[in-house]
Formats: sequence, structure tokens, C-alpha cells
Amino acid sequence: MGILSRKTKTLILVLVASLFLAVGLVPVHAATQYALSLNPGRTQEQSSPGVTVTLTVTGASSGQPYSFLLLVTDPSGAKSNATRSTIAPGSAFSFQLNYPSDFSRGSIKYVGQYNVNVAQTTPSVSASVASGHLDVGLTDKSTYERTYPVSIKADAYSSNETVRIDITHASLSAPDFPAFVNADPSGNVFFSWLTTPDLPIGNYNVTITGGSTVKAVRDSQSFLLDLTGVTIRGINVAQSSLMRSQTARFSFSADYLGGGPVQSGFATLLVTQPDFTIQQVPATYNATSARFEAGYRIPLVSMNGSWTALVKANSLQDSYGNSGPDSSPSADFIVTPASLSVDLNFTRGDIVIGNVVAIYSNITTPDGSSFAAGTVSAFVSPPGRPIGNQVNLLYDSSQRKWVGSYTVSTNDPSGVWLVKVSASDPYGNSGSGSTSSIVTVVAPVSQGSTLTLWFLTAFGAIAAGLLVGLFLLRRKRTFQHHLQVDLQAVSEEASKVKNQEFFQSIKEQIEKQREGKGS
Amino acid sequence: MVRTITVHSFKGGTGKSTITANLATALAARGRRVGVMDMDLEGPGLHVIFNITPEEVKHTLNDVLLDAVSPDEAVIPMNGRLGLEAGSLYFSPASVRVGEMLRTLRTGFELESFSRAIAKLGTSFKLDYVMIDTHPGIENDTLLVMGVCDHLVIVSRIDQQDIFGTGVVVDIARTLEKPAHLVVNMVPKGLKASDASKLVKGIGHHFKVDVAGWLPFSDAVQSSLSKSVFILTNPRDAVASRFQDLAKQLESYN
Repeated sequence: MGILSRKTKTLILVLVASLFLAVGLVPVHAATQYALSLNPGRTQEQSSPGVTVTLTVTGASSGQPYSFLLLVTDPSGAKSNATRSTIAPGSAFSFQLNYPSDFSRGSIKYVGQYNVNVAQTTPSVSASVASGHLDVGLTDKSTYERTYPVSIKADAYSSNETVRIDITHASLSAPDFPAFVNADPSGNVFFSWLTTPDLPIGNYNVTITGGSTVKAVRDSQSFLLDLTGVTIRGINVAQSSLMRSQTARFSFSADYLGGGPVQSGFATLLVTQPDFTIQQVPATYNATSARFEAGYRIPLVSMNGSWTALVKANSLQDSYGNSGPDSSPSADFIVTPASLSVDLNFTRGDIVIGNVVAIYSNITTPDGSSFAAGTVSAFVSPPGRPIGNQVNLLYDSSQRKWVGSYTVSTNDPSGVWLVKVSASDPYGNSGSGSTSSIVTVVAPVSQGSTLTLWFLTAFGAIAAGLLVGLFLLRRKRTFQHHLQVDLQAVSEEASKVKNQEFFQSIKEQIEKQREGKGS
Repeated sequence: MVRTITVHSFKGGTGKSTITANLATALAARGRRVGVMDMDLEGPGLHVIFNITPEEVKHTLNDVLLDAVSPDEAVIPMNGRLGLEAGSLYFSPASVRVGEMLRTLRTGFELESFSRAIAKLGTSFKLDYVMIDTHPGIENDTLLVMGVCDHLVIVSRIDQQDIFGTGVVVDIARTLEKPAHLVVNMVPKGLKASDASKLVKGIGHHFKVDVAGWLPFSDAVQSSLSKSVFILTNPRDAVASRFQDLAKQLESYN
């Protein structure tokens, strides 16, 4: 036997095993179980790093020698094998081999399925105790999303041989194919095809044809191309603070999951008020700015405070069916009440007592549109009368102006008259404006003074303020006085916890996790 | 990658569950994908705030930990229930059996098992945040929840014992090298906002802990009886605004 080759020995072992199994002389141990795993289960044509083949045996007899023959049949039908012997260290053991490096004549040079069979030759004989298979392709994956690269590898061509690569979909060549590339000095072919967002989705076929090499199994394989998703980098709000009636302008850029900017399509923005009222705002791609853009005019009746804008999940659709995002960053902006612009004019010159001073006021919101709903009052102040006579103005939609009149009385003096117009609405939007002009009337002037009342009111307010201040200061001091905490006692209490076994265990586990992440 | 935020307090009645529910909802309203986990095994309350009956709870985190069910089966989607259009909110109810299971786990693997379950939830639902509500005090399960978090939010009232306990929790978090952030809740109404801010900053300075913010005592919050998410039922209340500010603060943590 000593002069027999390794191949012959293996053949004899298989024959003996088959014979024993056929006549049922030595049954396999009933409780013994075998599990075969291949990692990875799919790979590309390449001899290195290969595939890890693991056989795990449970229910074994401790101290008993075990021997196995592993046989791999490649897509061309060629076979390669490896043997492993071990003495069971306990009831369970496992061993690993690398395919192809640990197998005689092993290789990964064909596309297709590689079948692995494990036969046991010691202590009992069985032609097959475990089996499995390995899938080999040209591409690194069998399914891709658009915008990701398709990485292609092939083996067993001649050194520096020029090969033709075809990728087809529905019998039509993909853009830029066929491609011609040279194998490296070892006969390996490497190629990467970056898929674009607009490629048709579905099954594609990749084929490699050698210039001189004809392989026993043709290098041809299909893969699936699917839609891709998009992500949003960040949303920009043109102004961080806006008044009601102004238009908030948003922009953002989007990227495909595999990389590259999204350059078409539309999306929906969710603009949320502080009370969570949501407005859906359409955004469209602007080729000039290369960003998605949207605008939303903030209504005069909306809430003040911090607003949020974000892209609604999965609302972005490009022109090719790709969509996303799963989630979106948000942008905050502040909304404040509208400051109304008030322009006005009134009748000037000579006014006969009993006639009216007509007042016209043009009131606009910050975006320049006419303010048409609210309360608008004019205060007409002849000389020496700082608190003017109030006149309510009404909106004249034909003129888009607020109008009203003041009847000149005998008490109104001639001179420079000041007219002030104040506008407001229930939502806190407000504004005022004033103008003055010389008005000539004949009337006596009488002045009263409320100065004493004003002083009394002011004094009372100051005194009340001081009392409240003293009260609050005392409360604050009370809180601060009671909140003296002894850090030493805190530390001692914490130490009791830190000395517990469970705390130590948790701390060690955290450190292990950190080390794991670090390495 | 999912960020885990544990909300904890030394004493009970600090409003921890209310804060957890409102912050999680505010984050979701800001477009985030948020999972909320009730680990207050002794007094779970989030299901009441989220208006979920016990009959609706088919599976819990315990089943995920045991690989008995997929994460999809152990969480309750909340967007439809709460009327949230933006973001996503998922709720994982408490299970009394979680405590039992953690106790039976072999010492030395609790953290890994729990981290794996959270990661599984995070991956399944593409979560940005997992917020965990704990029960008050310092027990083994609360130490575990502190151990898995990326950030620890400590809730305290202005109360001598509570502040003392907060100091203890801060000390423990520091030993575990977990970033801690203080939220002082139910600040007495008599204090002016500026004085309250100074007071809370003083507490933070005393314990050398970051101050995330503070919330005033609110009759409106109290009268809601923890039966709803306050920021949704009282969006215009000043406290709702403070919850939103706190949510923004959470987003700023790495």
C-alpha cells in the first residue's frame, strides 16, 4: 500500500465505503449528525480567497478517530477532493477547509453550481453524510440597484488575452457594450460597469468571450437590475426668519443611493407649523440651480414660532421611477407676525368747520399685497392734542384702500395736523404710519391735563413691580438655599452601586464592545 | 445608524414617561424615524399615553430577544393612531417577562443580547432613534438600559432627594462613559424663566453635567392625566414649545 498514489488510496477508500454501505455491514452511528456549510455561499470566478467549507459533527463518540472524504464537482463535471481525519475531542467537533486551495485540482473558474459531497470513511462508512453547493458567477452580486457598480471577475484566460464582454437586456446591448479588455498576466479578467439611474430595470445577461480561450463552460450569467432609492443631504431655507405673507423658499439636493445627484423629478415638502398643522408643498427640480426648489407663502392667519420643513418620505420621484427618501433631514425657520406697511394721505389746506377731512390709507403686507381684513383706525391730532381723535376706517375694495373721515369742529385749531393710522388683525399682524400737513380752521384751543393721573398710575405700577420682585427673589433664594447637595455623599452613594458585581459586569461588557468597535 | 437614548430618573413621578412620549413624538414630527421602548417594568405607562389597550399587545421585545418573532410583530406603528404625517413612530410595549429573561441570561452577555435586539429593531424599521423609558432608581435592569444607550437623559425635579439622586446617576453615567444630559421638570411656577434657567444651569454646573433644558410645572400637562401625547393635544401651549426645543436639542447630540 505504501507505494500507492494518494489518488489511488482515495479511490480505494471510496470503494470500500460504498461496499460497506451497500451490504449494510457497518451502519452510521444513529445519533451522529453532520452539518456542512459554505461561506460565502456565492462567489465570483477567482481562486483566492476561495470559500470556507465547514463540517460540524455532533453526537460523536469522544476519543474515536473520524475520517472524511470531501468531493467537489464543478459545473464542467470535473471533480476535486480533500480528506480530513481527526480524533473526536468530545461529542462535537468541526473542521474547516478552503476550496479550492485545500482540494486536489480544485478551482473556481466556471460559472454555475459546484456540488460538495462529504463521505465518512471512519469509524463507520457512509457515501454521503452531508452535502451542499456553492454558486459561482461573474458578478459580485445577483441583484443590483441602479447607480451601483457591477463588479465582474473571470478566471482561466490566457495571459494578457483580449476578451469581449457583452451585457444585454431584452436582447439589446447595454450602452457602451460590447467592451474589450485585456486579462492580466495571470489570466484574470476584471471589469466594473457603473449602472446609471435611467437604465431599464429587469434581467441582464453578461457574457465573456475569449479571443483564443474556449472554456468548457461558457462564461455567461444573468443578474437583476432594480430601481434605486434616493437620499436627501439637507434642506436649505432661504431666510431663517420670515414674516407672515412672505414666501418661504426651500431648496435641497438629492443623491442616488449608489452615488450621483438626482437631476429630474419632483417631491413633496411637509411644512409644519408649531401646532403640527401640515401643509404639503410641491418641489420640482430646477436644472439651472441643480436643486429641488419649493416655495410656500405663509398665510396671515398662521402660527408664530418655529416651523419645520422636511421632504415627505418616499415622495421624491425622478423621471425614471427611482424614489425615496426613507427619511429626511429637517430645516427650521421662524415665523413672526406680519409688519404692515401703512401709507396715508388726508385732505389738507383750508377746511371749513363742519366739513370733513378725508383719510385714505394704503396698507400692504410684507409681500406687497393689500391688507384687506382687520381693524384700521386713524387718529387725527390737531396741534396740541397728542391723543388724536379716533376714526375707524373701512376697506374700499375698488380702490384697495382703507377710507374714513373726520368732521372738523370748532375746537380744532389750525396748524400742522398729524394723522396716524394703525392697522391690526386678530392674529397679531400690525403696523402703523403717519403723515402731517397744514390745515387751516378757525377754532379755539382748550387743553386739559391728565399728568397727575399719569404720575399716580406710574408710581403705583413701580411699587407693585418692586413688591413682586422682592417676592420672586425670596422664592429663588429659598430654592437655592434648600438645594445645597453634598457631593461627597453623592459619590459615596454612587460607589455603593459601582461596587456591585452586576455593575462591574456591565462596565466590562461596555469596554469589550468599545474594544470590538475600535478593532 | 440608530442612536439609543435612555430617559431615566432617580425618583418616581418626575414625568419621565411624559417626556419620553413627547420627545419621541416631536422627533417624529420633525421627520425622524423613532422607536419608543417601554422598559419601566414595574410601572409601565407609555401605553396609556399612546392609548394602547393590553389586548392590542400581541408580542413584546422579549419575543424579539428570543428570536420568537420578527421585530415587525413586536412593535405597534403609531403614525396612524396619532395622526402623524411626518416621520415615523413605533412603540414597543413593556413585558414583565423581559426582566425574567434578563435575569436568566448568562452573566456577561446581557449587554450584547440587548444591544442586538435594539439593533435588530433599528435595522428593520430604519430607525434614527430608539428612546427607552426606564423605571426610576438604580436596579440591574436600569443599569443595563444605561449600558446600551448612546445618550442618557436624566429627568429631575427641584427636590432635595431628587437632585441628590440625580447626582448619583450622573456619577454612574460618567463611570460608564455615557454622555448624560439633565432635564429639570416641573420647575415651580413662581420662578421667572431667567431665574429658572440660572437655577437649572447651577445644578448642571454643580454636578458637571450638560443641561438639555427645563420644563415648567404646568396645570395643562397635569390635567391631561398622562392619557395623551401633550404636544399633539395642546400644540399651542408653551410647554409644547419647550418639548420641541428639547427635541431639537436631542438631534444635536452625536
